[in-house]
Amino acid sequence: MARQPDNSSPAKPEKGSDSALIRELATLLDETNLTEIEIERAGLRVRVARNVSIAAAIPAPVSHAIAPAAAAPATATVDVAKHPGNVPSPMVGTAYLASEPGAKPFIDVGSKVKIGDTLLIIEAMKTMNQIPSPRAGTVTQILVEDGQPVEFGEPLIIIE
Amino acid sequence: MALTLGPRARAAGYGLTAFDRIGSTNAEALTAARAGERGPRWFVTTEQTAGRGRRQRAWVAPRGNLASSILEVLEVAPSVAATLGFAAGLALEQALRTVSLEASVRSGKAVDYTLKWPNDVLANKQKLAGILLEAEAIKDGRLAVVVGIGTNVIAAPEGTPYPATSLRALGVDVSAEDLFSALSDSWAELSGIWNNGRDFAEIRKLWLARAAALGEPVSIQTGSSTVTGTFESIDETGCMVIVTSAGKRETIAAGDVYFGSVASVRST
Repeated sequence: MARQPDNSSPAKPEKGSDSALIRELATLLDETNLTEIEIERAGLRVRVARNVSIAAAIPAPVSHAIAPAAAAPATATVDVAKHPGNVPSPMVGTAYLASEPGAKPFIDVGSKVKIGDTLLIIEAMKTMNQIPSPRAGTVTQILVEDGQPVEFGEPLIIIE
Repeated sequence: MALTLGPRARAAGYGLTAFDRIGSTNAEALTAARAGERGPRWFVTTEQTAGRGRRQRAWVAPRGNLASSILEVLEVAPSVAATLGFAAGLALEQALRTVSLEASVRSGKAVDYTLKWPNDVLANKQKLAGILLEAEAIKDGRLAVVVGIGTNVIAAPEGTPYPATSLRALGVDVSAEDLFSALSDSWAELSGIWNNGRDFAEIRKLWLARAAALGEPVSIQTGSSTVTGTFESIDETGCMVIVTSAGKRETIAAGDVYFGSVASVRST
C-alpha cells in the first residue's frame, strides 16, 4: 500500500483520499482475485466488488454533502419527496450516475444544469433511459448511488 | 448485395439508412433523433466498429455480422418503452427461424432458438444476439426509443464470459442481408402486436412460450447484489419474477442473468 492513514488524526474523509483508497482496494481486488473487499475505518465504510464496478462509500453523517438515500431514515425521504426541487424517478430500475463504469458522472453536487441536460441513466430490462433535467438550476443533492435500484417516484436529485 | 427492407416493412413505410461501415448504429439513430428524425427508421451495417452493449461494454463484430438499430418515436412512458425489448427479441427469433428453415431442412437438424431475459436470443443455449435499448425524451415531449439488435451471423466474439455462437457455426448459411430483410418484416409485425405497449400482455405470452430457463435456477447480478432463485415468470411490466430458496418472491427490473445456481463465476 502506498499510503497509510493516520489513525490519530480526526476522522474527516475527503473526496480525494476516498478515491485513492478505492483505487487501492480495486487493485488489491485484482491482485488477490477476490470478488469483494469491505473495510471500515475513520467513519468511512468502503466496499469494492468485482464485475459490478461499484464502490459504495457510506460516509459518516457529518462528513459529506452527499447523503445516499439508502442511509437516510425513511422520514427524511418523505421530506425530500416534497421538496420543490425534487426530480422523482419516472420508473423502476437501476440508477447509473455515469454513462459507463469509471466515467465522469453526468452531474455533481453544485453542477449547473439546463432543461433537458442528462442527469442520470435508469436501466430497466436492458433499456437505458436518459433522465433529462426538468428544470434549470443547481444540483444541491444527489440522493442515489451508482448502481442503486430505484422505485417509481423515488426522489433522485434535488435541483434548486 | 445491399441491406434492404423486406416487403412488409417497405409497404409499412419504414425508412432505411444503410452504412457500409459505421461506429455504432445505436449512436447514429440517437443522433438522427436529436436532429429531428422521427422514424420509424432502421440504421444498419454489416461492419460495426464501435458497438456497445450494456453499460457501454464493447460489442465486438467482424465484417459480415449484422448490426441493426430501429428508431421509433413514441408517446409512451419510459417504463412502457422498456417492454419493447421483448417484442424485439421475439421479432429476431421469428426472423432467425425464417432464415434458418432451409438450412434445417437440408441438414435435418433444427436450431433451438430461445429468449433470455430480458432480450438476448440464444441458439442451442449459446448467445447468438444481443439487444440494447436506449431512450431519451425529444423536444415535443415524446420518447425517442432506439432498439439496437446485434446478431452473430458469420462469427462470434471469443473470450466472452458466456458461451457465444454464430449462425455460420450452427450450420445456418445465410447472409446478414437475408437476416435483415426478414427482421425488418418481423419487426413490423411484432411492434404492431406490441401496439405502443397497450398489448404487452400478448407479447408477454409469446415471450414466455420461448423463454430460456423458465422454472429453472438462475442468478441475477444487479448493481449491488445478487439474487438467486427459480425463474418463475415475467410480470405485466416485463420484470423478472424469481422465487428464492426461502420462498420469497422477488421482481427484478435490471441485471445480468446467469443460468444455474452459482453467480459471478466468470473471470476477468
